[in-house]
Amino acid sequence: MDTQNPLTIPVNKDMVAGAIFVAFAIGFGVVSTAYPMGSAAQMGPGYYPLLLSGVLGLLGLVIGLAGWRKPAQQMVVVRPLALISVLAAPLLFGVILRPLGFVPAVILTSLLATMAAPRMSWRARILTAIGLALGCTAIFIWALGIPLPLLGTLLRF
Amino acid sequence: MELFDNVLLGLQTAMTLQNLFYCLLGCLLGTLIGVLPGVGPTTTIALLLPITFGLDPSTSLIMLAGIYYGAQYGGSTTAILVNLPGEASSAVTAIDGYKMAQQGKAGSALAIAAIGSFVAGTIATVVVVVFSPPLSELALRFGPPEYFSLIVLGLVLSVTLANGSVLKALAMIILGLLFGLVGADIYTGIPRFTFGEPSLMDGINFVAFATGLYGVSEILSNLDQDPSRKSKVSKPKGLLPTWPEMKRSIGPILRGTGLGSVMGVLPGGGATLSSFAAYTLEKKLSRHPEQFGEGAIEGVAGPESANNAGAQTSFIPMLTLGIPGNGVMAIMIGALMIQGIQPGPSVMTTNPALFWGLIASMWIGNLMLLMLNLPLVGIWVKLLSTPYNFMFPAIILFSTIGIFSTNMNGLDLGLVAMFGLLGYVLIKLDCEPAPFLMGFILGPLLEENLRRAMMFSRGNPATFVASPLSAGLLAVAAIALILMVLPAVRNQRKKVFTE
Repeated sequence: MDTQNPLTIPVNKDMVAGAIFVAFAIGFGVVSTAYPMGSAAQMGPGYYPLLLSGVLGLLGLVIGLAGWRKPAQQMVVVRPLALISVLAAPLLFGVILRPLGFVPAVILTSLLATMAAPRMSWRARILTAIGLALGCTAIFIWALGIPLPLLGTLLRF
Repeated sequence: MELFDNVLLGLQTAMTLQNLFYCLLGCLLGTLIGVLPGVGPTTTIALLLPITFGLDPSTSLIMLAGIYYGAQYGGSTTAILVNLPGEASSAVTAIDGYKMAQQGKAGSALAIAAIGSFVAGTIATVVVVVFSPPLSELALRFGPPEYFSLIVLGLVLSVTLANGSVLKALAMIILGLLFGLVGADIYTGIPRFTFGEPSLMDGINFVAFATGLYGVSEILSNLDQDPSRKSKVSKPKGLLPTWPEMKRSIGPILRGTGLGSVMGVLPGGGATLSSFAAYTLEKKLSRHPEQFGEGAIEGVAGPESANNAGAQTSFIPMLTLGIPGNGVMAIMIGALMIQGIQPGPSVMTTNPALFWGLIASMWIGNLMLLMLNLPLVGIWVKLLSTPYNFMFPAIILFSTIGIFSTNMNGLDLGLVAMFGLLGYVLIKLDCEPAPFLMGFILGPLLEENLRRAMMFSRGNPATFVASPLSAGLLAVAAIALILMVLPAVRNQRKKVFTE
């Protein structure tokens, strides 16, 4: 798969949106039924979420069915690499902060994030990471005084 | 006079050295982030929210308000200089502002925008001072049914904010309401939708939600295009408008202020609709409507004044009723709750210093912006030339660190990624995030009032139409909904949004 160029596929926006709403309605609705319902006068914790899920499901169905006859549109879905690296960046930071420490976490997170930019030179990526490490340390650790170790447990001897 | 005592109290609060400093810092940071292409006021506030948590409540609100005006101001600078408006409210400014910049009149456009915003801000602050106390007194007499109906009205009107299908916007509201329910049930304490995760007992972390929905999903949308393109920035030469330009702008500034002040109070109104309305009004009144779109200074002065006035008066429902009229105010409500203050009509009596201090700081913030931003315009121009490749990793890291440092909880970072993905997918499918955010904020309040009202009426839903006020609010909501679905209005709305 070409990871740099955008993926374009035909999508019927209304039907997909309707399906997403129905899926959420089913998810929330099913979980709601596990909670006590109560009555209209004495609503339990499950009453209101179930009511909302019902309305959402109905809206989702109407949106999806109304879109049935509309033609699908060609749309840029995503550059897969961009999507993955941007979404994974905060997660990576959360995972490596404790063991590696603040500075290495910022550098690695920045390197991962810049993978999303196509045709960015490695030199620019590394410079961005170093610049951000300096800037973030200055702002968050020195100026705002957030108590995070600059180097983590794995890197201290 | 009670009013003067209040204003005095406000000035005393706002003029402490600490609050002045944070107001200034807020204005500067707000402009700094807001000026970045593609970053609107809502995103800016969501990104900078964690910085304000360490401050005491009044200071943090004053700083957030400063960030808001700063971001709006920064947004207009970007709209005028590079034609890349961050949010719909400055899209209108870009039409004639960018044309002026291409003709070498960027300085005049920027100066008129600044002056117009300041005049509008000053007048709108007076409007806030005069109208807030009676409104919150009225709201104090609201029972659960009235509150329920008011929230319903607010949510329905927030649909007008969304561009596109009314049904999709309604579905987004309901989805937001559902996500707002995550956490312990208010009456029984039973955890709902937490999947056994203790940190979800207090609900989904609001900052993670807002950052994912606005910040991350916006980055993803921007990356769909090739971001290595460099935007062409037109450099302003002189910074002073000529006398005839000033004279042409007085009328539009005052009319824009009036229009914006009224529309800002309406739920779902705020800055965006005000600037659209002001542009249309000026074009209609002008003797040379053909100049609009070709660099008419009225097309900058009117909308810019209107959106600033609207931004200011949209604080009225937020402060007096606890009901946000737009995405930015929803974030303000979230910030108040994080500070341990229950938003609503009682804020004015229980926290008078915060209430009046915030209002006084609005005017001070506007003054600071006027004095600071024109001299600093060189810096903003430099910032605008930064390629997106360097900007987006910085935005990701700042928000990641900011969110993590508020709770030191890795789960929040997972929520950022999750809502970033959800927001991105939904935007792709023409479902806008603003109603989602509104629903998320108002979900718990709506449920509380619904359940309480139904308890008092012993399960009879007629309670919502029994009081004339509640019935009236619901009637307005119903009419608004019907009007929006009617084909004639739908086409008009489409026209306004595509113009």
